[in-house]
Amino acid sequence: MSRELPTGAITEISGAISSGRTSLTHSILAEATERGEFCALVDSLGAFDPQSAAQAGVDLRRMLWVRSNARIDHALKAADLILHSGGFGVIVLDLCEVAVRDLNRIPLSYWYRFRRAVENTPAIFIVASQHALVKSCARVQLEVRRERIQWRSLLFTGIDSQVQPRKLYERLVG
Amino acid sequence: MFACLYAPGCAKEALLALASSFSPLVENTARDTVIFPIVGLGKLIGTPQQIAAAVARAGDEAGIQANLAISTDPDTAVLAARHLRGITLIPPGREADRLGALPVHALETAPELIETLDRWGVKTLAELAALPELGFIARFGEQGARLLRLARGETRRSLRILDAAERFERRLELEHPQTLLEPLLFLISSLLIELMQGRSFNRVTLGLVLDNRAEHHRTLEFPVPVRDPHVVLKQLQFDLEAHPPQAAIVGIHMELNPVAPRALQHGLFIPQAPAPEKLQLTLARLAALVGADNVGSPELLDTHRPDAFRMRPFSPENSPREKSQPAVLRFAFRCYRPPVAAQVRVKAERPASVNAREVLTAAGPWLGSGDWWTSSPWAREEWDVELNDGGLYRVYSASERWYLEGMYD
Repeated sequence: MSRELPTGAITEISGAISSGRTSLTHSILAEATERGEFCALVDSLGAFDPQSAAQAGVDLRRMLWVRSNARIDHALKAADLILHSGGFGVIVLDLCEVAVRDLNRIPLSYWYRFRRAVENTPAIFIVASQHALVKSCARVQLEVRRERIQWRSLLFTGIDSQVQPRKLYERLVG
Repeated sequence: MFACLYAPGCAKEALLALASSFSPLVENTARDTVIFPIVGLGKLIGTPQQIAAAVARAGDEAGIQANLAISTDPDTAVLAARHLRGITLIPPGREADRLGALPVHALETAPELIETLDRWGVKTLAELAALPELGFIARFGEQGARLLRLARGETRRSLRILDAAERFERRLELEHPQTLLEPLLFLISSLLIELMQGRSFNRVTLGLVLDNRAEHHRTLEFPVPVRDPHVVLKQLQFDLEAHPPQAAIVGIHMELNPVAPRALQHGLFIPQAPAPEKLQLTLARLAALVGADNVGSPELLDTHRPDAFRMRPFSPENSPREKSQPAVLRFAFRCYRPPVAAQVRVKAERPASVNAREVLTAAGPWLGSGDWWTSSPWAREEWDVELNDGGLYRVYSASERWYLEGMYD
């Protein structure tokens, strides 16, 4: 999946709760660390679970985890610092479950700034959230929809999700 | 000319200090023996006799009981100091004569060789020096040649100078107490530039002498050697902003720990990695922004306790690429930290609602416990529940209270 995402651009992943957004993010991180790249995760609410990420195949030693403790402004600044630092293959800004009121307060200029910072770099910048935020600054927008929850004899075994592209760029289509 | 001091039972540091007071070039030959040149002392003190008297006087003042020998050959001086009591002055060209009476056992060499010389009836250095050179070397090789040169006082080697460890430290007394960070950083910057000068360091210790006579110490460790003063300065700035001194500053003390520069061969097909110096600066900025505890790489702990991990410093240098384990999980989990207290209505021993939201499906209970042998045991009953808001959550009950631990996503 991560090989199909554009480098030097913003990819937005959005979806409702329990739709599989985080699973998709983990799989992208796992593929990147498998390739030997270093990744960064800016976790706005500190919700990242290292256990499930490791089970998804993420090499935790090659991942920088920044927790902003529900300070969205800090999360945005941290993402900006990491983008300007360079050297990371995948950078994820996790805004899932942040209140819509707080998301709407994010100045649009941040997305333009991020787009400018990431372009001409070999990095994939992912913004994960409940609703589409980045709008025109995102090269690719993916919406994750849950199809069904798999139960087997009252044992939860997984979530079947469908990734619906809302905005594509040519390579992903081709 | 060389002087050799031999003081068995004397502290090595005291002997080195005595020799260093006469010459900056000192060879630490052994624990009880030092050699130093006296060539330059002629104009300062006088003849070799006067120099010997001055050294002896200084030794007496320092309380050092030592033999002193002066010779043009350093090894001759060592042999004389070790085996001739008091002060021995050996004029140039008389080395073999003065050493001649010493037994061959005085030479530090293989016991088998000494045994052979004994069997030959060679007892003294004079007898050894008189042996035909070619025949002796033919039998004993390079070792024999060295012994002959020693016995004749003709080694003429250079001193192995004791290279004193260079300390990279500076002190600065301020004329007026300083309370603002920016002027202080300006002074620290000048010290850093003066000390670093293109060298690599991995530790910086900054001591600030405060107006109230206290000292404020900060130490920064760098995972990779840094050679850019601006990187160090910026990190010191972040550190001082996070840990400001409690009074005005009247003095600065800075010490750097030098290390070998980092040498790294990049590969054409190796994925990119953050540049170490830039990364250190970014990590320092991130730590200043969100707190040092919130920046790093997670490391799972070897326990079954839920959500057990620790943050370790993010260091690409120490993260070798290893083949990852195949993925086994098809869903991710998002934690609520700390877990949120929940109102759970139980019906027929199963959760029926969580925070007034109806439970559509519930899987469980999954019982877990551990650390009962420690002072912080844990035991819980977990349920995976699908609520009517569309979310799939994990709730658990511990100590008769219910908590929402997180959400599957």
